[in-house]
Amino acid sequence: MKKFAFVLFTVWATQLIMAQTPNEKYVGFMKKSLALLDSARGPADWQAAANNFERIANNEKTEWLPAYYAAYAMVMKAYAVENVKDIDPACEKADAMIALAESLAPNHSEITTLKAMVLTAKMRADGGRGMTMGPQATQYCQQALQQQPLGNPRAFMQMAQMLYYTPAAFGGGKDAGIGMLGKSVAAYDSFKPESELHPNWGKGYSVKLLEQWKSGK
Amino acid sequence: MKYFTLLGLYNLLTLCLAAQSTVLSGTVVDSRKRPITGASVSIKDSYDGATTDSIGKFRFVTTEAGTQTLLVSFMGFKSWEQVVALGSNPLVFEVQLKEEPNELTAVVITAGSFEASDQKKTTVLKPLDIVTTASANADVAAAMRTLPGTQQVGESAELFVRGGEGYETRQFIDGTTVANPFFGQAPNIASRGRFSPFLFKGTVFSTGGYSALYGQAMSSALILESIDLPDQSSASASLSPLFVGAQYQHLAKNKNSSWGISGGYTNLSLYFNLVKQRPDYFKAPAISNGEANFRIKTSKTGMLKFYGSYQQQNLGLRNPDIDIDTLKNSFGLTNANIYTNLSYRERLTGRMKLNAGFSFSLNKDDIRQRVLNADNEEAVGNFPVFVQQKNFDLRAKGILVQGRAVVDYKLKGLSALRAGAEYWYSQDQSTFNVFTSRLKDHYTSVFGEADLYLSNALAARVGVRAEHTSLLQRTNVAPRASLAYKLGGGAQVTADYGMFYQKPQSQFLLFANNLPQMRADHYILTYQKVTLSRVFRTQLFHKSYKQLIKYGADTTSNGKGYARGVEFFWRDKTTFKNFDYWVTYSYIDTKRDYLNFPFEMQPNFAANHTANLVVKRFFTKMSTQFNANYQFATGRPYYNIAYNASNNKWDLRDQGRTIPFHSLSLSINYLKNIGKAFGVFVFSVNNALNSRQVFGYTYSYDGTNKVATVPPANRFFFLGVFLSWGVDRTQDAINNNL
Repeated sequence: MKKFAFVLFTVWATQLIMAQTPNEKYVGFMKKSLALLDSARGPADWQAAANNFERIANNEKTEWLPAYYAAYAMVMKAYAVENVKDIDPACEKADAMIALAESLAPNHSEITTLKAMVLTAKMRADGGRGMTMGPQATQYCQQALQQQPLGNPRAFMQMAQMLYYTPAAFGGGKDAGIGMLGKSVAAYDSFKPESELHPNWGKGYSVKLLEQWKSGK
Repeated sequence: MKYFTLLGLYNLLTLCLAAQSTVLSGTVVDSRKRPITGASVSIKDSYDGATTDSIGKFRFVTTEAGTQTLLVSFMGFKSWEQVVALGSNPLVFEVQLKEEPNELTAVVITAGSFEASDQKKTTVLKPLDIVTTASANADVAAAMRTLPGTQQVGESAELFVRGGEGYETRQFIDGTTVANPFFGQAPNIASRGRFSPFLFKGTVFSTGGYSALYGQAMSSALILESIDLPDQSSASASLSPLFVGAQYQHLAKNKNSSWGISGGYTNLSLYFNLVKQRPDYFKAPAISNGEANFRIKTSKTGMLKFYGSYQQQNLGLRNPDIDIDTLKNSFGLTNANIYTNLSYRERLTGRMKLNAGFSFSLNKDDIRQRVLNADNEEAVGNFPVFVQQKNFDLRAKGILVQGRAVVDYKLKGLSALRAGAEYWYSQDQSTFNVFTSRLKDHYTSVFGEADLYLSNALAARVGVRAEHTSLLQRTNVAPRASLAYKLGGGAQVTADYGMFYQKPQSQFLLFANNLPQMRADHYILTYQKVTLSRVFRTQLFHKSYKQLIKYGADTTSNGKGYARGVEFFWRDKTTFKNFDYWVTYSYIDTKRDYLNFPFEMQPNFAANHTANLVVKRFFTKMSTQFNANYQFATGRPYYNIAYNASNNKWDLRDQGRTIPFHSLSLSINYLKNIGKAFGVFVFSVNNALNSRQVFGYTYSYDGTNKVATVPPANRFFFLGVFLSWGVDRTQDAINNNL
């Protein structure tokens, strides 16, 4: 009888796996990939995570999130690479993924925030780009905030970092940055992602950074 | 029991199906068998896949079965695909990816030119460099004069490149040429460019061997690309003892279109009261200007842009007469200029792009020269003919209408084909005293070129340009070619060849229109090494001139000449922290037998050695940028050439060489927010060390008196403030949001 129960159980379990609907498969894969993304530490990890999401994006032609995360992972890689010459290729890939995500979800605050992040990464490759890309990045942040009236904490965080490293003469400065980051932390507190797959990253970093900035003053 | 067995069998079957999995593993390497890290390996149309590790290895398990496609891809490489039969046997792959030529890593065909752009990685200059070069005072051409290949010709605003005259350098805005890029000029006193550097997002300065897309320039092309839609609506104002100006740009709410207007007034009389000038200005240079523009995004990939300007300029000055010391010469100039440019670009299909342009310009000069007595009245008396001839009125009017279209077809990778045509209609009318002459020309040209990337490291460009001018009734075919090879480590070599035609200037065509086009052939070898913060470039060139204008008893096209030399450019942004500098050195050996030269001689605009040091440093805490540059050139030759009526020949009566040219220029830009405005304060001084500069000598008719050509004042000072206000509603939106 024990044997019978086991057989029955395996039948049930196998059938359950086999009968997984496409959506469940998508969600499952996304969760797995998000877990990988969360544990990413270096450029190689970010690249692997981006590859995962790109594979999902290639299969799910109507979902914007896989392309969004692929772009996000590539931006993070661009921030993490040691050799500055690796920045532009990563940004180029991120731009392509952003374009794909945007075609599926136009005028989305999270995607617009990514655009600002890509520009920030590009400026890291070449300081001379700041004069034109800096204001453009600021604009993307402003646009992202407009697109999400309740306040996108990631857009605030990006804006804060740009302000912090902008000389006060250009309307930035440490105080302005800290003030903006405070808004980010507050926005994180009230932020509720649309689903467990939707963007919900950055809170820990934002809180930590704020402490660091405040103590470093 | 039977039921139980059946169930077991079914179970086994499903389990088998579910568990049927294949292990795929292998390595991914590049063409030189070096491992590729981070490559994506996947089963097409499935979630299954992996990423290669630090030694290029991958391994994953897939539950997909049957015939599938394995796909390997990585940035900068062509994707690799293979059909695989998935069973239960493990599969091992050795994948070699081929590099895909792409803009970031490929060899640069146009390495011989200097480009200022924010977008492209490989550029030597940034747009901001043009406005922060100390000696340039925000003049595009003056900034280019800190680059190798250019001469320090202080008495002209034009660019004299590699043994070429100033008119051999042509400026192009969005593809169409500019007939009068500089303000009107008094004899031997440099004016400046008509266009603000802030109008352009990209500048390419080619000192030779440039694309078949551009013609009618024997030496050099300055290719300017105007900005697209502004980031936001804004207003700006400029204030200086020399000028006032205001500008407004409006960006539509949907961000698909913008318009703008600007106006300004320049008057140097206050400045001339403070800083003494050598000529006696009875009318200090004054300019009134107005501009308008619009830009419309016609589709996701289409853009229509218009820019139009009107400028009116006056000046008048007196200098001592060179022949009779009790007399003076007065020179008065009134110039009016209309310039318009309409350009359109659109992606027609995925691979095909169209660039079209239309331009109309009108230039009117009214020049009046008189011989005056000591009381500044028109001198009357029985003067020799050569003195009487100094009294003249010249009224010139020039119209240029242009249309142009270029189609760009993208081939595989970075390879591309370009083909296009252009048409110029020009009409020049001049009245010298009472003699009026008119010249009309229909100039048509067709051109094509191919960029062929044979690999990431080897690329060629071949082009040809055919031109016809109705005035000269000639058709010329000009081939162009470039070959570029990448050596690795950011280094590459480029070889350029080209044939360049240009119509003789209209003052010669008035007397003889059966002349052929003038011709220059370029041969250039470039080596450059570009890393993120350092650029080294050296160029070796040879240039031969044919069919130049030569006049004696008749105007002919028997003139010829050559120029050859070597140039160096070094820019370094890292060795000294926050400190950016570049150094250039140019050597040229050039001779010409043209115009009234009795034989082949070094032209008087060419110095054998020219050098520049440009230094920039930004102090973040002070919000201040300091710029300095030092320009040096060895002495230039000068000649006294006089016509010998007895044998109808030109004689060289005297010659010499000027003192070397030195100029140290300094500028300070201080950034400060004033209320809601962002302000930039600029102070600059050209030739801060007060060095004596001599550009050449002019001789009296009898050759006994020679007068040095010198700048109107040794030093030039500038002080001004530029304010801008960003009128941006999103700012309000955020403030409300917080």
